[in-house]
Amino acid sequence: MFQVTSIKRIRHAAVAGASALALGAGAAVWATSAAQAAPPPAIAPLCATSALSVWVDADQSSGAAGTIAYPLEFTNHGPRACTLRGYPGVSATTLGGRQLGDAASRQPVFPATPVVIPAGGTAHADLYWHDAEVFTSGCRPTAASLIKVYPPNSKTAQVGFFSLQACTVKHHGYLSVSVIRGGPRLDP
Amino acid sequence: MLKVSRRAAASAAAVLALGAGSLTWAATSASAATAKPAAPAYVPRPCNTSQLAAWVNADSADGTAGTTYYHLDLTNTGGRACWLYGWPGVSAVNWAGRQLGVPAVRRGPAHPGIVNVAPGGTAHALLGYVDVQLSPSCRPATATFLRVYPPASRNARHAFFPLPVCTTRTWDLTIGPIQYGA
Repeated sequence: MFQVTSIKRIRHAAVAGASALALGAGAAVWATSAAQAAPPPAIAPLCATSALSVWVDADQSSGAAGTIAYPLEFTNHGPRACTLRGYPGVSATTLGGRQLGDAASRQPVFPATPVVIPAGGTAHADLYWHDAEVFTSGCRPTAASLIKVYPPNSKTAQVGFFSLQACTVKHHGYLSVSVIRGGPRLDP
Repeated sequence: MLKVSRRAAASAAAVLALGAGSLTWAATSASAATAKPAAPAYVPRPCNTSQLAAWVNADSADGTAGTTYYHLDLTNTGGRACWLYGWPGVSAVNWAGRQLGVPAVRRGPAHPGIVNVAPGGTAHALLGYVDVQLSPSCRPATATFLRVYPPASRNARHAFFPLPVCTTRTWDLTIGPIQYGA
C-alpha cells in the first residue's frame, strides 16, 4: 500500500514538471506549489561504474520463511549526482572471483524507476538470500567471499565483501534481486 | 516504517499508562512533530549506532609490502545529520560472533577532527590488514565479520570481512580515526 502510494506521487510530480515546462512562465506559480507538495525528479547522468562502491549491510536483514533480505548498497563516491535505473546483475564468488552457483534472478516486486544518488549518497536494491535453498536442497553450500555486481546497463562490475553461504552447483536459485531504490535502507 | 510504528505504539502505550494528565504533553509533542518537517534547523549530534551501517570497501584496497589498506566505511542510514569523532573499536569475529585474535591497533594523529555525516552520507577510517598468509605461525582462520564499535558507542555493527586473520596474540589489523568521505 505504502509503496504504491509513493510511486504514484512520484509519477504525478514527473507529469507536473513536464506540463510546467510545456506551459512556460505562466505556470510558474502553480509549478512552485506542486514542487512543495513533492520534490521534482532531478535529472542526472547515468552512474559510471567507477564512481560506485557496492556493499551489503550485514546488520540490516529482514527474514521470512526461508528467505532473508539484505540491502545491496550502491554508494556514489564520485563528485556529482548520478542516476541508476533497473536491475543490477548479481552473483556470489570466491575470493579469487570464481562464481558460485547461479547468478541472482530478478524479483519483480517494484517497478523500475530512475533513482538519483547524490554525490556521497547511497541507493540500494533488495537482495534476497534464499537460505532454505542453500541449506536444504543439496546444492553443496560453501562460504562465499565476494558479491560481484554489474550496475544496470554496465558491462563492468564492482565487488563487495559477502560472507554468506552459497550454492556451488547450478540450477539452484539461491539469490534474487529487486530493482534499485532510493536511500540506504531495506524496503519495509 | 516498522520502527515508526513501533515508536508510535510505544508513545501510545506511554500516554495510556500516564493517564489523562499527560494528554496535553502528548498533544504538544505531536503538533511539534507535525510542525517540523524533513528539514529542521541543523543541530549536530553524535551518531547513534542504530543509524549507522559499517562496511569494508573491497574495491578500496591499496597495498604496500605485506599490508593492505581498506576503507572501513560508516554510512548514516538515518534521516538526520550526525557527527563522529575518533577511532572505532574493531575486531575480527567468526560466524558465531566469537572474536578471532586481538582487536585492531590504533594508528594515526593524536588529535583527529570531528566529522559530520549527512543523512545517507558516509565517513571512513583507514583499516590496515597484514596478510597473515605471510606469518602462518599466528594460526590464521577465515573471519566472517569485522565487529565495529563506532567511537564512544557500546553497541557494535558488523561488516562482512571474509579474510584470514590471526587467532593468536599477534596483531594483524590497524585502524585510523574517522575521516570525511567514503
